[in-house]
This record gives sequence, C-alpha cells and structure tokens, in this order.
Amino acid sequence: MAGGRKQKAAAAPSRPQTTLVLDNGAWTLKAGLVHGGSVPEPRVIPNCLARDRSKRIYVASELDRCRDLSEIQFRRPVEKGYLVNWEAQKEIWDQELFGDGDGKALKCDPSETRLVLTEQPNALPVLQTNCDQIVFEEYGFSSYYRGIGPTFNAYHDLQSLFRTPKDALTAANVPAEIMLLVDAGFSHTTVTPLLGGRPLHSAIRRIDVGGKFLTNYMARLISLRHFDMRNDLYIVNEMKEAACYVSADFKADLERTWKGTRGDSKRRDDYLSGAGGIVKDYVLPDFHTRHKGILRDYDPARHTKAKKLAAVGGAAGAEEDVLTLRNERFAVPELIFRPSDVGMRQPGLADAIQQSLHELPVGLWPGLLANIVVVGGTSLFDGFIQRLQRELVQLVPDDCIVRVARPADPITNTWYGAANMANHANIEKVVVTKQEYEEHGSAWIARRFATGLLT
Amino acid sequence: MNNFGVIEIASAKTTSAPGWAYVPDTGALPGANALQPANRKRARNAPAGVTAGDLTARQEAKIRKEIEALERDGGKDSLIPIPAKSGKGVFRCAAAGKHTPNVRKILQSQKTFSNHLDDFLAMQAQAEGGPTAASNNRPTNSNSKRPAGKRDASSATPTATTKDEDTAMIDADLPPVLVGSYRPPPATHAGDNDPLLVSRVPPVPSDAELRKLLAHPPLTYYEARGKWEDNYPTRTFCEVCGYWGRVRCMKCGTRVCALDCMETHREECVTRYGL
Repeated sequence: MAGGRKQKAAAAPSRPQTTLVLDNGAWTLKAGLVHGGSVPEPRVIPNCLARDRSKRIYVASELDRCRDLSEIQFRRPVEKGYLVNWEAQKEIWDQELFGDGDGKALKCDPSETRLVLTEQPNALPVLQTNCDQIVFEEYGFSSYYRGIGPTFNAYHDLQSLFRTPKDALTAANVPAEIMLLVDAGFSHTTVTPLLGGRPLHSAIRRIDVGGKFLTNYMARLISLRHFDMRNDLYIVNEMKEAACYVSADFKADLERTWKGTRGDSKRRDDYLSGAGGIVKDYVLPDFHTRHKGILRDYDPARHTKAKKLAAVGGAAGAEEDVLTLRNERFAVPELIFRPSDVGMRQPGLADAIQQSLHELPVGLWPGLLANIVVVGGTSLFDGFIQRLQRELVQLVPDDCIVRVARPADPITNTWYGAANMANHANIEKVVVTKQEYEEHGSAWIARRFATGLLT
Repeated sequence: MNNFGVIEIASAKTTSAPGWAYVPDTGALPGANALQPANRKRARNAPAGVTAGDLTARQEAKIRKEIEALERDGGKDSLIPIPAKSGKGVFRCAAAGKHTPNVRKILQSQKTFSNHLDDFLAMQAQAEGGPTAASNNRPTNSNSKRPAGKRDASSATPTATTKDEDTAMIDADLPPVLVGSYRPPPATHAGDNDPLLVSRVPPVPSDAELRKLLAHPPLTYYEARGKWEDNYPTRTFCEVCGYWGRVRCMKCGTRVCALDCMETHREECVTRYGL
C-alpha cells in the first residue's frame, strides 16, 4: 500500500462526521453528504459519458447543457448493474463528487469522509475487489461500507408506507423486521427478501429485464412500425416514460387496439376512435422549437388533415413528427411480467417472487408477502404495483395477505435508506477503516462485507 | 422414404463429428423432420430435445439474436473517449502520477462485464475440478442447465466456512432475529378451536433456522437468475402489428395476425428469402 499516505490516514479522526452516501446506479447515480443526523436531498446525476451528433462529449451532469439530444450516444461505467469500467467512473466521480466540476459538485474530501456505497446483489468477486481497491488506494476514504442496494430500503418507516394503523409500541422499528424488496432498475429486476435489513442470500432472484431492455424493445417496435429510432434511444426512453403503462387486462387492451381483419370495411370503431384512451399521439422533439416530446390524446381528425396536407403541400404538412402509439403502450412493460413474450426463457416478476419464496420456510411467507416494496425507476409505470399484487394473489396461498407498495420516490428510496443507515448505530458495526484495509488486505474486506450485519 | 433404419444423427451433442449411426427404427417418429434435417447447419442449430415445441432452428437463432440486441446498451461499438483534462482538473492530475499498481491496472482495464463473467466461470469450473465444465456450464440465454441444488453443497468457499463458524460460536446470547409482535395476542374466544375457524398459519421458523438462512453465502450471478419453468404456453404475437400471432408464414414461420399483416410481411419475406 502507498507508504506516503499512511501518516495522513493516521492523523484523520477515527470516526468521521461526514458520510458520503452513494447509490451508483447504471442510469443515474444518487449522491449526497450526510452530516450527523441530517439527511439532505441527494443529487441525481446521469451516470454516463455522452456524445452528441457534433461529437461533443458531455460528462455526467453536463448532459443538461446538451441542446440536441438526437442520435446521442452513451458510454456507461455500470454494465448490467455492476460497476465495471473504472476509467469512466473515476472521471464522473472526480467531476461530480470531488469538486472538479462546477458549483453543484459535492466537494467531498475523502480522507475525512465515510463512504457508503451500494451494489447490486450477486456481483462478481473480481468487481467487488476492484471497487474496494479503488476506494481505498485511489481515493483514500477514511472508512467504507459496500452493501447490497436493496438492503438499505429496510431503513425506512415501512408501515407508514402501507398505512398500517400503528400504536406507540411498533412506531420506531428501523430497520424493518421483515420485507420483500423488488428493485426494478435499468439493467435488471431483482427480488430480495430481507430480515432486519439483512438479505436472505439463498432466495435472491433476478430477471434480466430492466429499463434498458424495455427501451430497446420499444425502439425495435417503433422502428418496425413507424420509422427507424434505434439510434435515438434517449428519445425512445423519454417516450417510454411518458406513454407506457402496465395493463391491468392485457387481453382486453390488445383486443381494443387491434385494427381488425381486412375486408372489415368499416374497420373497428375502437381502432379509429382511439380505443377509449389507450391510443395516444406522441409528438417527437425536433430540438429547435420543441425540446421535449409531448404526449397527447389521439385525434383521428387531425390525422386525416395531416394526410391531406402531406398529399397537397409535401413538406408543409410535416411541421411536426407524430407517432401514434397503440399496443406499444402496454406491450412494452408487459415484458417484466412475461419475458417469454419475446422468447426470453425467464420467469415473469410474480413467478420470480414465488421462486424466491420457495427457497424459504413457509413460516416466513406471510410476513414477506404482506410487506412487498417496489423501488427503482422502472417501477414508475402506471399500474405496476396493482398488476404485481393481482398476479401474486393468484399464485400464493389464500391465507397470505399480499400488500405491494411503492414509496413516493422509488428512484431515491435506496439512497434515503442508505442515508438513514449512515445515521443509524448499525453503521459502526459494518464499516471498514482504511487502517484495517491496509492491515488485512482486500480479501479480508470482501469477506467482511459479505457477512454484512451478521452480529 | 425408406432409409433402411439408418438415420443421420442430428442431436446437439455431436457437433464435433456429425456422422452416421445405427439406431433402432421404432416406426413413425413424431419429429422425423427434426431427426433428418436437410442440411448439417440446421442439425447443428436444432434445439436440444423437444422442449422448444414448434420453433425451428432458424427461428431459435433469430430469437437469440434479437434478445442479444435488446440487452445491448446503445452504441457499444463506438467507444466514447474520456475527454482530455483541460485545466480544471489540476488537482486530480497532480495526484494522477501516484496511482498504486493495483489502481493503475484497474483503470487501464478495458474488460467488459461479459469478460469478467467468463473469467469467473472459468475459475469456478477450475475450483470445482472439472476443466471441461467450463465450456459447457455457461448457460446461454436458453435455460440454465445447472442443477439448482448442486451449488449449495459445493459452495464451500472460504466465505461460507468462516461465516458458519462465526454463527456457531456466538449463537448462545444473541437477540432473537424476529422480535415478534409488540402487542399482546387478542383474547381467546370460545370458537377458537372450532375446526372451521382454526387458523392454519405455519409456525415461524426457529432462530437457529433463521440464522442459518441469513448466513447463507451469496449466490453466483447465474444461480440468482430466475429459473424458466415451462408451465404455461408462451404467447405469440403478430410481428407486424403486435396483435396475437394467429397465422404463420409458410416460408419463414413468422407469426402474423391476419391477411393485412401477412401482406406486409410477405414483402419483407420475399426480399429476404426469395420467392
């Protein structure tokens, strides 16, 4: 280990007052400094390097400055949910966390800070070791805890989320005793049962369907049916966020958006009139007058007018590019519940939860099923939790009550949980200091973190 | 067609040397077409077993390719370089000379996740003893063929053993894992023992059991993936409009919903596969 840094570390106070809480997601990283007791709002920063059409490169939060997001390309340090490329990640951290960037950067001094970093479950040991080495040898944090992201969500007042009537005795119960956490993120969706903030490793399950998969699928559908958008994934993603929803009744919705057979001369009323609100128009951004796409109700009259205009005046009618979204709106998020719809040999989310439960004694089922929390950006689709609840009720024994909840902001929920943990007494039990790292090496740390809160 | 009981072997396992073998001719075979494919390539690509139902090798390959495309993240082929430091990063640049060898190695590594995963699987196979297991064990997108139970016994990594010791030693005076209800249970009622009303709540596992569960070592990347169970038939969709795929193109097997979509599809089908 670096000899020159040792005195510095020894001089630092043994128990740092400040904690850098960092939820390093694939799409966005959530970061904030927690000083003894107070929890500020985290910064949510896109975790990527981006290059626009004119070959300008934007690092992380500089993306806000980008005016023309068409055909923008991304490079992400986090791949499949795991931190892989440190070259890029270091660049982003340096700019956003350690004060190289502009005014909004966190300006954190690692040598006097404790780091709480989240990772996805079932990571590869090599990547974990790499991470530990960078944290201590490159940045020199005073102490450090790397924990599985979903576990931090236990550090919330769970029962108020479910609106359980409480009495004084059950009020402060952090970390939550028992819960089942579903993390629907950018790279994949994981199911993690938790007991007192500790994961039950044998029952963690993952489906490789996440926001990225859905965006790619939507881009493919649109490219087949309208025009090629495979290079405009950023725009497709915005469209997905604005327009998609999880259908409560997939069959009926599909039926209503069908155009009907040929020769069905009057066509189907539903198809032409907008299928009772399912069909929507999405006006694509052109980045001159409009920087964000607009979702609006389908208006058949407008379409016939546009068609006439296009026939007569050519370019005159093409003042805005409109996509009509029909079954794409619900067929895309449907993949979380049925990955087999695209031929992927993986179970749906409800099935994955059931597989996870089958690894555990039946005595735990009632507790887990009554406390299911869904976090992650992909869970923001309308109807997500209702659908999950309905599918689960059909799968599990009748006697179990199924409650599914989504926190107010599922994206930063893990971060807030981690911040709460940083203020909780538990943190002192799990962190590893720089001295310990220098003494025992990275293999020891890896074991320590794998054990987690096992008292 | 009389083939005198000689059937070309077309299973997925004979990729190295496809050849001939005498097999008992048991009359009409259900998948005669699959057993006697027109060309060797198709034989090679044929899915193992009959689980895949009505998918031909070509469709199987297409689905695999499509899913790979869906899992890709944007423009991977054109790597975006780190922008050159311009003045503002002076503080970090000064420190840049002081990377430790470990850090330098990590920063310069251009390995992707799949590289790391391959390394890990190879190492795991080596640890388990069988050098051949490395190549076969890697589950592709089609199902994981590893038996689920196998790992639990074999995962005796140092992590596992040390942790088991930990729990065993200090088991004596630990607070219970689950505290249980803070509220006293409701008062007993005369009808509690009525066989129609008696509750069948399973007992909460004992503390020792819970501790054992908590001490379980993390699963590996592939073990944690949800297992595909062939319980329900998969749904098929029209590849043109997304409605149910009720009809199949006779040439390529693509599903479409009705004549309208069939016509749209046929244009593409003809350009791709000829008349």
